[in-house]
Amino acid sequence: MANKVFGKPIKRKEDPAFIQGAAPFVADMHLPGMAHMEILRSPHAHARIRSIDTSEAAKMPGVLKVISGHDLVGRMKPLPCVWIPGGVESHFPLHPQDIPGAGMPLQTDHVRFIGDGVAAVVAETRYQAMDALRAIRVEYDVLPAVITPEAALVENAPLLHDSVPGNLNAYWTCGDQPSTDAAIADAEVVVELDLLNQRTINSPIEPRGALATFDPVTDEFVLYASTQSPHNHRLILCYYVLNIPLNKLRIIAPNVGGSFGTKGYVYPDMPLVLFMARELKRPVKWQDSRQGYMRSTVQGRDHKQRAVLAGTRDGKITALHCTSHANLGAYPSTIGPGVATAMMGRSITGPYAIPAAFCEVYAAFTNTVPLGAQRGSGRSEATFMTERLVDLFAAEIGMDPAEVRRRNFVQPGDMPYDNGLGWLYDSGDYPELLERALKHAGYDDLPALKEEAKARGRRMGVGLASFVAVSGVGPSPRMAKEGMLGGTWEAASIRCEPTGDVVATIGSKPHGQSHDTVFAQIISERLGVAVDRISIRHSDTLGTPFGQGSYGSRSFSMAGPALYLTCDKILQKACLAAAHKLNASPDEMIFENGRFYVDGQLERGITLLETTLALWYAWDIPDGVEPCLEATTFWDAPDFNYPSGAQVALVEVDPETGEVELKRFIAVSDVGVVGNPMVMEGQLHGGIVHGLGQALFEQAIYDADGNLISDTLERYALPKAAGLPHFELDFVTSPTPHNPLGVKGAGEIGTVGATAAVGNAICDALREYGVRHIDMPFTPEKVWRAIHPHGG
Amino acid sequence: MLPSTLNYAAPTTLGAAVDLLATHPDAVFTAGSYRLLIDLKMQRIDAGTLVDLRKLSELYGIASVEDGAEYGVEIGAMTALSTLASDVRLLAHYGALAEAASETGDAQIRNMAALGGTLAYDASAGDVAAALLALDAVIHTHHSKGQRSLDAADFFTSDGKTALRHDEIITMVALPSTGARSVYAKFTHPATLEAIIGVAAAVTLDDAGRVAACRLGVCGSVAQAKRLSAAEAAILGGALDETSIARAAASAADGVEWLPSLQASAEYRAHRLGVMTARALRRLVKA
Ligand SMILES: Cc1cc2nc3c(=O)[nH]c(=O)nc-3n(C[C@H](O)[C@H](O)[C@H](O)COP(=O)(O)OP(=O)(O)OC[C@H]3O[C@@H](n4cnc5c(N)ncnc54)[C@H](O)[C@@H]3O)c2cc1C
Repeated sequence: MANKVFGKPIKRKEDPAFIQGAAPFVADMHLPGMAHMEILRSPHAHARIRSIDTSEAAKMPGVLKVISGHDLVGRMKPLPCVWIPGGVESHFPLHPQDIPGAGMPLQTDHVRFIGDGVAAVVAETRYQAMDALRAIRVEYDVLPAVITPEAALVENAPLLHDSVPGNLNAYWTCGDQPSTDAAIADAEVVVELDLLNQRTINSPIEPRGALATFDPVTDEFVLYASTQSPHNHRLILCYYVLNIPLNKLRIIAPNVGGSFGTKGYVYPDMPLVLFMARELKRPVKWQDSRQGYMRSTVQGRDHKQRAVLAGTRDGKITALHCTSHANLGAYPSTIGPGVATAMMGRSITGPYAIPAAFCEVYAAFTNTVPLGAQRGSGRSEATFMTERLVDLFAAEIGMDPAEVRRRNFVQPGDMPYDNGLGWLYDSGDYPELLERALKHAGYDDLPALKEEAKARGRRMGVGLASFVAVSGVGPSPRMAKEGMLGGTWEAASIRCEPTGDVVATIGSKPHGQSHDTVFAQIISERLGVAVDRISIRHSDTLGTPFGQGSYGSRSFSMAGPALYLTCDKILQKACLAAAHKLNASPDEMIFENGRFYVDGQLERGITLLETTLALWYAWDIPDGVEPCLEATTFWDAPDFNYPSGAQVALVEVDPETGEVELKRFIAVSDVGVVGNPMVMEGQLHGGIVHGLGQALFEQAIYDADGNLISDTLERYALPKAAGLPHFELDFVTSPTPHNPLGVKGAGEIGTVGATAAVGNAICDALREYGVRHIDMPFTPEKVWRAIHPHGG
Repeated sequence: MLPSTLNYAAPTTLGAAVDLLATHPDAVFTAGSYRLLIDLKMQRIDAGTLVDLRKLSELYGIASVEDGAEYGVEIGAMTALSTLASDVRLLAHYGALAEAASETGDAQIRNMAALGGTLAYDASAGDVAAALLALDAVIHTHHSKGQRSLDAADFFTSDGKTALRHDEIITMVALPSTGARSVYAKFTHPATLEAIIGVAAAVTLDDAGRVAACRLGVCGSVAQAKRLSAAEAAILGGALDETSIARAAASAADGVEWLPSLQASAEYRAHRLGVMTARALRRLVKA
């Protein structure tokens, strides 16, 4: 049956509120009696705290409370880390509940990065709180800092955590080392590459904020926070950090202004505002600034990779080996260590059938801001590395890079395909993705265009990136093996109201993914109810089922199926009631366009609304059927899903200046079944821009002492719409067998290939200058130096 | 974050504006407020009183001046950069300034930022600085003790600031008629959109195609916006051709002092200034 609503590009329901500025964020919220908290953070990347004197600050105008880390001892526990490198020995800061710790919200004696908290002030106004911060006296003994994982792992390097010998969180591996080494040793051709996938700073429009209330009569807390995972964070805060009953804390994530992976973590400010609200019996709010955000919210990427690809002269890749040093920052973020290991390591073979592959990761602590996921985390780092190597291999054997890819793709007929590193690809047509992308690019005509560019004093380059990006975290038993300390299923409930309205509650929460629209499309399609009669409720732990949060491109393929299957339950129950009303057997019932009828007798029917009403009145319903029409599903995926894509970047480089101009960008994506093409394109545009940002502009820069130099948007460059070309999008559809909707993750797929496509294009443009590789970001000076290694 | 309290005044006469500054050490002028608000938020400045120049109507607009053989324009200090970017007189006769204005920031910034605010605040870093040097501009001011007019070359000081006193208002910028054709080229900072390097070139060719007059100005991440005298000397008097342009490019960075930059080394900037100078001059050969 053709879809009427699902799969259609209907406009987003959430836009009117955002466009009119009517959608509140934490920063917009003001509660009666609300006080303001500010956090004093270490100015040093690594130091011992000799003393903290808060007495002057406490006397400042408007100050209600000043605390240091000492005031939390025994009253708060360290934050936990809940995704650790799976299956290997690992070391963490301690936590009294015998799980990995992630440091206290405020430090008492040892600070480990420039954002580490040492004290907190609550005052009547934000200004007073800020002024009072300046009156806190802290004496530090500055210690030597380590900024890179390599430096952190040398013998006698400054130690960050007593419980982590040698600063090594984990040595993690996947794949078959002996066969990989043997294949490399025997290979006809070997190409090697050392690269830094640089650290980046996610920059959603909204910096983070947290606002807590406490009711001294009921002992109940409410936390309003910009979080991706309200339910998880509630559990973590209650059980692991604050020791309060779960049912005494309600978390509400109002609108969240983008996240890209940064708001899925429990940050020190969250327990601190809760603590302060209870101490003061007043609402307490903390709102970060942009600079504060850049200095204390998780950063992304940061893998130093050394990779080797082996192959035959006729273009077959025989082995791939990667050694990576992952920079976890000063503390493990809530899920950081898992991201830095499995998400990168298992992804390095990309869309290729590589007989022998191995990846090892040294995940180390350093005196930098903690590392977390960033859109495309792990998969983007893997893709950049492998796709650069494939191009180097092609150059080495003198073969067209597209042809090398063709000769190595996993074929559609090979699905499900075990990549040997832990991923079992579900479906996909990698050759078709590339062929389409090449066709859109006019690949065969590009040599002429290159000549034309050269005549203008420029160099044109074309860069390909083929990739697979595991999505849809995930099957809980599998994630347990992967080191996740918690289930990763999703939940959804649907209630049909006696008015014909439908309310769905989901555990997943949006921060830009259009849940309100796309999830309504699923229900509308199944139940025949108009989209504007369907409300999707989320983001409030009161009244929604537990959900794991939105990350790793998982909401649509995890919460979507939960909703879809709940529709089944609704229809099954409604069918019983409808058949009863019609004096027919449930087996004879057909449901179409929001109406049940008896098979073959179109006029003998009853609408879903009439059925809902009948169940609501419950005056005459079948035996054994409960009143009302409501159902819930908890759904765990049988496995991940594997969206894939091929991207082509066309650049022009000005060899005199090194300036890179991105002329065209083509992305052919396979995200399985598409729920709303307009939303999908939005996700792709955003995702691609994210990758282009890393490729061309973005880099977190620390000096040798661990100061973050690029801590404002004046120093940290982001891509700007005016400087980017129109994106040319196309889709191939390979439904995943791993959920009933056939949908795959789409939030990150744009990002994953973009860095590689641009990097390959630039190196292609500079081939005549013998340029093999340039590390990102591809700034004009770096490109110019690659062309002119001896300067001007 | 913005300071919690600020005094605000919007005087309607120049005298009143100057007096407010003279009597309030914590007062600052504001034009488009684009820089000012950011500085207040970042706590880079500690201003207690804002003296808003937006009600001084005599500071707005572009006037043509024809005085016998003398022809020129006078630009009010509060004129928005977007007005400069689209003014037909500037586009025809003072291309470097129109281009510098149109290359400044983005559309919102150009609509808000005033020529005077840019000159006073951004000084050597501002795009218009190089253009005003190349166009031989004169900057007119009012202060509590009187008025002055400063040549562009004297306006930008070697400490990266301007010759302005605390209570001195830029009122107008005068551009003389020189008959030169002029252009502006920019190497843009990807984060701030400001010039890492800006070069303006103004060249007058005689009937024989020789360079009768030329002025080159540089701005951006430099200690001081100034004329590129070595490069000027390389082309003055001779034909403007690839040979002389190459000489100009090679000497463009002579005497330019670069400020530290995360985006580009001094060596690269010196190279790039040469490339930009050559390309700017080539535009003046053609057409
Ligand atoms: C994001 C961003 C990008 C930018 N990009 C560029 C760029 O690419 N190129 C560039 O050149 N500039 C750039 N600018 C600067 C901008 O063009 C203006 O220079 C800046 O906004 C100052 O102008 P204003 O009118 O807003 O001045 P205000 O912010 O109102 O004033 C700044 C200061 O100038 C002084 N002042 C203002 N008017 C006068 C006057 N008439 N007489 C004396 N003193 C005065 C005052 O002391 C005041 O405190 C950018 C600014 C921003 C915020």
